[in-house]
Amino acid sequence: MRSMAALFLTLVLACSSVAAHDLPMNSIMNAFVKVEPRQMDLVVRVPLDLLRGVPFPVKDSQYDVGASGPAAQLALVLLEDGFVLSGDGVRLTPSSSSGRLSPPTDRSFESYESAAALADRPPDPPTRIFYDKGSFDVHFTYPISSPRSVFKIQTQVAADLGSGAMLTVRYLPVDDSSRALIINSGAEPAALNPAWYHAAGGFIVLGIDHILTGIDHLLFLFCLVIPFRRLRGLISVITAFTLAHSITLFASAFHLAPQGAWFPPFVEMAIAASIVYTAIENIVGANLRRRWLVAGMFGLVHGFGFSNALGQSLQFAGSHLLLSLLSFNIGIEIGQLAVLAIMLPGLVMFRRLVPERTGIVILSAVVTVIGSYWIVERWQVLNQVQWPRLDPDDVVSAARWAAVVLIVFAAAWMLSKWTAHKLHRRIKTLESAGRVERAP
Amino acid sequence: MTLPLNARLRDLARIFLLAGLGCVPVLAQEKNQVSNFVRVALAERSKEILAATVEMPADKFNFKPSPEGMTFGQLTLHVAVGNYLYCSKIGGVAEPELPKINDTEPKDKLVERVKASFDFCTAALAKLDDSNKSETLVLGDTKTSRAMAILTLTGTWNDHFAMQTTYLQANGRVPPTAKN
Repeated sequence: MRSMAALFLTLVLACSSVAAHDLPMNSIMNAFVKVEPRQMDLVVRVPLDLLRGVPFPVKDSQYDVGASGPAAQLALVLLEDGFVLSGDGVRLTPSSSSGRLSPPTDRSFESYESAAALADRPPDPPTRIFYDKGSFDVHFTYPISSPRSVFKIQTQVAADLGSGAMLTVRYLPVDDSSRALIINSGAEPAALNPAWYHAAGGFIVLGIDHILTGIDHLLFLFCLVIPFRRLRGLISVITAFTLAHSITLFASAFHLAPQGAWFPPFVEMAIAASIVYTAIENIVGANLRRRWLVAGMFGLVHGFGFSNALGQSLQFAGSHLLLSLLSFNIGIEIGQLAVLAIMLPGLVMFRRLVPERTGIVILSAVVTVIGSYWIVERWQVLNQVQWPRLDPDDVVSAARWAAVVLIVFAAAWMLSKWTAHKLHRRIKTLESAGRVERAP
Repeated sequence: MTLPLNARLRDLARIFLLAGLGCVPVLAQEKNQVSNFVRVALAERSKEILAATVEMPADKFNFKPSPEGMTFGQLTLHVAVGNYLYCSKIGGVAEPELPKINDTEPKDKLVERVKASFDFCTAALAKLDDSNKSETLVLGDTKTSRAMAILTLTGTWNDHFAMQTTYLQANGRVPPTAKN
């Protein structure tokens, strides 16, 4: 009895870090999914802190590996429902399964072959695995009707933890290059090899969703259009914004954007600044003929913002990266047009209630306040990032980007000048031919 | 007194060994392996958690080991709420509508609530079998299979009992089930 009392006395120390819930945080399961002509193999390494409900026998603070057979069998039966695979919408049922305890030092999950071989091999009883450390490695084999089916995967292990439990999947198809994706526990099933139309549809929806829920992008768009009375003047502004954000969105997807941890908060900060700048320009009196330049310049920044949102999702594009990017961009444009379709009539109505100049100042002042709040908020985040040391490569990269931006804007400026010139000459010709009335 | 991490883990692991031993006979059974497992775990853990709740002195129900942690009263109510939610979903029975109680209620009321929750689980899981262990359940904003819900429930019982033990020890007490 005394020893048991002593045991529990020590538990206070064992659990001294217990807060509201002693739950595992950021547990990552590693998986391989290999497709063969007649079967699909799933090999997963599940950290033992996600399997606390399974009564693996423990002896002297270590798992009794030799006696773990019955508990391992139970864990396999449970995990059959922890990983849901489907082919063309039909749930796959494993035809065989094997699993074992492995120590945290094991490196077999560096390749599919060694991981599968390990999971199929019974554990060595002398293996030392301390309680709550190590992993349970499983190998399920599923019969499939065709390796060309659209396969989906979902994990429900510790679904209550959501993004606290993730599954990293390395997908190895029969005749295509391998891919990697990360899915949260409890998330909707993710396609391992989506058909092109699934990828396109999914990314269009994602683009629409992103612009409709991206209040900062919408506010910038709002700022751009506040002073315009006619739709015709807006066309160049919207086109410049669209082209610019498309350039940086695509560049980011092909890893041409800076990769450091500082970049996303920097972009967020720049987006907030773009809103404030444009709003202040509206208040002091914007040159509307040059508004397309502002739209284009800040459009580049917003494109990086879109790419940050897209980053995690591109893994679900399968082999349709370019199509998915285009679809996402189309989704953004659809969302943008939908918002403009509501925004512009709203502005027309507002102008009927409030004198035009006063209205512009009031609306822009409100936006300035919101944007300034974001600047302060995002500055605090930006202040905490580790800035990279500038090496010659970074300088070259930055110079290259600056050159690209300059060239794009110079080309756009020349194009606008040339178009204006041609238009002017055409009007002059028509005037001299007496087909249009001479301007006073 | 501070023990090295390995020693602490060793002692914590012993608790889980006790739980494991209780489940061993079940694991050998092929049919309804998952359902039988949760029923055995329920029988074991309900005794331990209830005994630990009763052991805590009434004036210590507002104790918490760290400023950001739960009080013992909150933990007790948390166990009861979790039991009603999970057992009703897993067992496919309606969750009873109970009068709301606060975690600052007197000890008797909280003990009564946690005991009633385990009784509810016993009844709800009595006829459970493995035929629909793959069925998707909705638990709050989480969708998961019945088998995974069972894994979560048994895991939280283990965690909550370990937490209770911590609270009791910090107040110079030992869970009664550890004294035998």
